[in-house]
Amino acid sequence: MTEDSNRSHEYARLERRLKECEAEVQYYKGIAAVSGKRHLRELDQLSRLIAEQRRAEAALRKSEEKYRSILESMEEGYFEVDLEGNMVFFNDSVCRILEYSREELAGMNNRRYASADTSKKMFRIFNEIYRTGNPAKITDYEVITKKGDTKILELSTSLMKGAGNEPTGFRGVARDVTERRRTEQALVSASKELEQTKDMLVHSEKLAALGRVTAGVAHEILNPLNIISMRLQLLGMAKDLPEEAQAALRVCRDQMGRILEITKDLGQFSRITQKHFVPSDLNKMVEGVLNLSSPHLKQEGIKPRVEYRPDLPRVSMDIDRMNQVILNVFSNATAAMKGRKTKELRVSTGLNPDGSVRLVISDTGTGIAEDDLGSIFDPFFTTKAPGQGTGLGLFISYSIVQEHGGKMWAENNSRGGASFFIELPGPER
Amino acid sequence: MGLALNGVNMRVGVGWCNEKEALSSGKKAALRAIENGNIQRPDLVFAFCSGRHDHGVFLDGLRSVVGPEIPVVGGSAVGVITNDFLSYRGCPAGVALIQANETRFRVSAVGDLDKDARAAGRRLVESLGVDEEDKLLLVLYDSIKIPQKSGSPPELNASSPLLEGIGEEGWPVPVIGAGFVGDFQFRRTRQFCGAYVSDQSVVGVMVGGGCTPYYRIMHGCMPLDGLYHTITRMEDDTIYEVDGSPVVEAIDGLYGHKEWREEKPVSLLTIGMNHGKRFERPREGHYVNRLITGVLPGGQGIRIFEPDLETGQEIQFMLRDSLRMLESTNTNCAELLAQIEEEGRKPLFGMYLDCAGRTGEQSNVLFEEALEVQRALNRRDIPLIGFYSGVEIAPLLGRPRGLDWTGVLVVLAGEGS
Repeated sequence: MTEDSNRSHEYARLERRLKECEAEVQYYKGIAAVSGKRHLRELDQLSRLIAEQRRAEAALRKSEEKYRSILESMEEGYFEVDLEGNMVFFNDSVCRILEYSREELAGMNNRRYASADTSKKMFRIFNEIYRTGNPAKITDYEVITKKGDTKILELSTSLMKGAGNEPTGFRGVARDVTERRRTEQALVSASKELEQTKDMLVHSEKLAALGRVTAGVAHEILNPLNIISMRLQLLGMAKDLPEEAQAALRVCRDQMGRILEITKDLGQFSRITQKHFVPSDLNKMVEGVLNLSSPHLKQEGIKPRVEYRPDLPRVSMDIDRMNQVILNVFSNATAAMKGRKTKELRVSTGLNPDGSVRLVISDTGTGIAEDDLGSIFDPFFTTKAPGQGTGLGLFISYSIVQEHGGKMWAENNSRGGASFFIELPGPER
Repeated sequence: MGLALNGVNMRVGVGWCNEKEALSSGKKAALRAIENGNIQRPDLVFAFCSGRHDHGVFLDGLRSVVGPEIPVVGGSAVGVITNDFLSYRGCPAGVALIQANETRFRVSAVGDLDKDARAAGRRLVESLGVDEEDKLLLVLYDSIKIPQKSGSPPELNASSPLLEGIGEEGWPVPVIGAGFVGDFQFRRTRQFCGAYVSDQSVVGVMVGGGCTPYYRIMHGCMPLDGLYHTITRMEDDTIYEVDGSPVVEAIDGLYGHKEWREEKPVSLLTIGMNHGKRFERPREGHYVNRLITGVLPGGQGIRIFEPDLETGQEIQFMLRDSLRMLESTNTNCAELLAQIEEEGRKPLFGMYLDCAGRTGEQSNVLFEEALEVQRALNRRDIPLIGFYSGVEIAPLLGRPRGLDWTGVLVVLAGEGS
């Protein structure tokens, strides 16, 4: 091989190698443009950051799930409203309480589910929370449900703040206490009734004890009274009795008559009579008493106004004793209307939802002093002048009504007078 | 919950369910598929369910809807992809019911994959047989030989010997497939083998008759620095040394730290074999990538998903780039569908075999690459069933190869647009 040939061969080899080198340079340049160790490290760093972000997101998701799970398992409603009172976040219990669907409730303003008065009241309370930053408890937040029912809620509310500590809205927990409030009210009412029943029982016991005492007293008093009465009659028959003595005897006889009257009343109260309970028509009975009293009422210038409920059931009554009750009330009414310009006696009968019958006797008299309302059925209680009444009439009437298993009470009416209410149990079914 | 294309050649109904209770899951997914595809009597069922499902019970649920005689092919999957569902969380399951008039399916399954993968491949082909009208062989197999134990990577059934067995007599049809993983813990998987449920099995579906298969491989890896390294010590599926130095230390140098050693599998780096020319512009289609499943305790070596490398072989470190992965998926989907259209055919049914490492979670990205496949197929109303796998199989450079970190989209197309 010649030197030229060798040189040419070497030149071709170098040329090939040059081309190979150029290709390699292009190859590495190409790779370096898109890849490389630096790229790996950058991607690795990015990958780790994303992995960390994913882990944080997963933890957040888990935490949110836990948070939501707690919220959804709560019986109480949890809510968040913006500063204008629009619902922005809430759990299912809020939907259940207000009876709106989640879609309906989202964004709903509080004025939609609260009355105007409640809204005003709530505005004041929430404004106070906004102003002071102090949480508040609201015990009687009245809301109106989608169906139009009213519910009472108890709220614990506080101010929500944003990242810059600026107020963003309110959050709170709402408890539906409607049922609890109803129960409480029923309990108060039952408690009042129980107190009344207790009073009545005490009263009844008192009456029973008094009855036993008065029966003995009446019996013991009447015997000596008879003796005194006979002696007084004998004294009165004496011919040479001076005028002064005769006058004194007259006073004694009058006072004896009064003692006898009281003793008779007491005896009537305590008397263990044979009672005759028969099914009777209250309307007819009242009519009978009115007829009996009409001359006296007319004399006193009293106009009776009667309103009978026509379909009253017959109820079991001792007619004589109930007549006595009504006469007694009429008598009191007549006395109360003495000297009054308007003298009107209203009598009405009615039927209560529980089947009991009702009699109301109202007058236009002077009414009963508030302090006396609780005592008028007590024995010997009277507002009349001394010697004008025994103070046993209403006491006896009350006892008779009780014997019938009924109730009797009095109230002042709007016309300035008093109204007496008598209720008797309806017919047994 | 699914989509169907009711063409002359084929009806496909796809359904999904994400419930823990296997019976209900199988039943619901099948009912949705029947409803969506207006299926009267399917000829073949593809079914993929979470590794957490009782596969036998899932099959019972499925069969309660489709009947006992229809072959069911599939198995465990990390996640499921359909036209309107993509999940690898919870217990996802997907079902595709295929009612084909002109397309024929022959199904066969063989076991003992863990004992002799090559023999299993050979037996599979023998039992299926091959005829002139066959167009495609779908191969689905159990990837997990020995599940992952605490601290050490799992031992896997390699695709290479299986494919060698399948191809002993040549490659008359393209082979596409996947190896199952049922969860990211690499626990045992199960396979639906036509009429029964098994494990350590490979199930094949020979597709023939009036359809044409089209496929694309979605990549996403680029050479890290382009440098070629030679494996100087390797045993089974473990590389100990490259260029005479410990491979683990070499990778430490690339990362600049040792934290990567904790990853199972390693997320950004793979081992690549260039089947193209040495210093040509790198083409993703010329590379076979091998996933690094983990580092041996003590850091003596790295374990590779497939034991098909050997001492003396040249490799490159490859960088997994998520944006490149997305780009590759978009481009390949578009090209595949354009090709079908250009050739005057009508896409009938798509199956996407997607590496579990390509999920957003595993790739540490905030997107899902498979959504691009879903969108591309939805735009043309093509029924889609897909699942997340361990290994993908597709023809590459003249023969089928086991691939890692790829997505393989196969679309069956019929005549007429």
